[in-house]
Amino acid sequence: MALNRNLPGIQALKHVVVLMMENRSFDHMLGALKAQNPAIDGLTGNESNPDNTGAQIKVQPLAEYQSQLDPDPNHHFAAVNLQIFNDPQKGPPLPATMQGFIKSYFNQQQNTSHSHDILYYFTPDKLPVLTTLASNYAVFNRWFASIPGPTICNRAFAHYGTSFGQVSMDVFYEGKQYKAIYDRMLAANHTCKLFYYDEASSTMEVVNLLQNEPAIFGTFQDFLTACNKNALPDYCFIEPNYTDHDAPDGSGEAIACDQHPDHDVRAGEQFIATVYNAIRQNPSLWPNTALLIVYDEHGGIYDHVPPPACTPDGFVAQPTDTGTLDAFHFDRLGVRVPAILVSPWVQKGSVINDVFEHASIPGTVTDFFIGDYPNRSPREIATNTFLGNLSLNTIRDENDCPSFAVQKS
Amino acid sequence: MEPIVAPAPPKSAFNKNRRVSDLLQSQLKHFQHVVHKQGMQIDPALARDLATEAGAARYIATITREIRAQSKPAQPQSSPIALVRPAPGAAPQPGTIQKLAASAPPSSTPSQPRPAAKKSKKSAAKRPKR
Repeated sequence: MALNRNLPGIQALKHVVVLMMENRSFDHMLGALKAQNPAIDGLTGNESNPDNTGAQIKVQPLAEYQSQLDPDPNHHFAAVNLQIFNDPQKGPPLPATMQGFIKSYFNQQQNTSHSHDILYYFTPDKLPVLTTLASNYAVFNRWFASIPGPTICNRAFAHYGTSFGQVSMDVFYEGKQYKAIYDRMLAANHTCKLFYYDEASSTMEVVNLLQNEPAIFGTFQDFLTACNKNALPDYCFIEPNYTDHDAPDGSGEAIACDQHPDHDVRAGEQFIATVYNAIRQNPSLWPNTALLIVYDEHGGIYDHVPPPACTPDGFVAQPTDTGTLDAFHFDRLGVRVPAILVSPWVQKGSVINDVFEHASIPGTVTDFFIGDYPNRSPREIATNTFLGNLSLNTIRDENDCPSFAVQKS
Repeated sequence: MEPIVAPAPPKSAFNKNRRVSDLLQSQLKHFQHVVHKQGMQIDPALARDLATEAGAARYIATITREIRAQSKPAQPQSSPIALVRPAPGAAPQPGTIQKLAASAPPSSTPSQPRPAAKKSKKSAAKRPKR
């Protein structure tokens, strides 16, 4: 549906900021919110998976910030096949039962008890930032990873609207038929920036974007400075810190804040709060900025919603690439991930039921800033856009919008 | 509305000697690909020390700095204060990281619309053939 540009929130909108975190499923992070708001498609507590003994194991609110998901749960294509279809080699027409998560995690360590941890989820009190934002703005019930696979190919969809046939972490080159959203923005005389945390963390988009277009990158400090100086680019994409490392300027320890297992989830909470506060606390920025917080993929962690079919991408990944018996036609989505849209023009407690995936990011940004742009992947052209949810007729009161105090360590 | 507290992780959460994950191994492979493609000369000791997050970070910082130096003059970079914990009594990191900090490129300002002419010849020449 075409964006209603007469909406006051759309007329005010100048900036779109996307923060993409790492490797957590919807149910793991936000599933417990169903108890507070039944419209959120989270967990009832009765969802289960069989373990290797055949016992049915129920989801439990026992997720911990760190040390629980070590080793990193497998989320390569074949493992996700097992998680979704309960079969590592075959996909559709098998039904997407979401019954293979414990089996998949068991395969990594042959530890029955530990394999149950993959069904654990957080209670809202343990994630005050993410759950507060989800409850106070708009949460997506149906935002899925673009591919039932790992990080880099999924992140590619956020930049290009396609992964150019990739379903793995391998090096790939962007095809010249579809330009990155940054190229489209710059060609249309819009500003944009891709902010990595710092140079020691850098970006997952080194082969194409960093190598060829280093000028479009900045650090997270640059993002904060741009917010303070009212100099935020029209479109911003933020990458979290992917490693624990000494800060390059010798100022101390930079803790990983991507929430990728086995990094501490609280550091990611603080990072999300810092991004939000930088926008929220600037009265020149807050009314005209939309912030999308989204995770790249589920990281092998349980979610109960079967991923739907989608418009084929025009690419085909062969069985040698998928590690299964099937070729993949990019015609179904990956596992559901947390996604939240933040703006003072969003109705508090909104729950969005339309289907979204990462191609929705360049799709939305292109639609809003550029308009008609036919040279995009079939997936991106077909995807839903999300800015129509800035639907309030009047901006929300300051006191109705939360803020966060980021505790110093 | 009172601010909601976002608790800090404990000091024990930080472990720069943590073994690199599958994700970081892939990120390193992508950086190594660029190093090979661009014929960069990297300190062999730096290129070998990739088993831990700290080692990976040092390598990645070096390559990132080198790539960005192609398009910008050098200027010190600071880290985001809110998420950096000063190490009590910690001396500046030895060896490579000190050298890296000394040659850090700028904290950039928000991008301006980029005319094609702004792209460096070197950068443009490195664009892959498709």
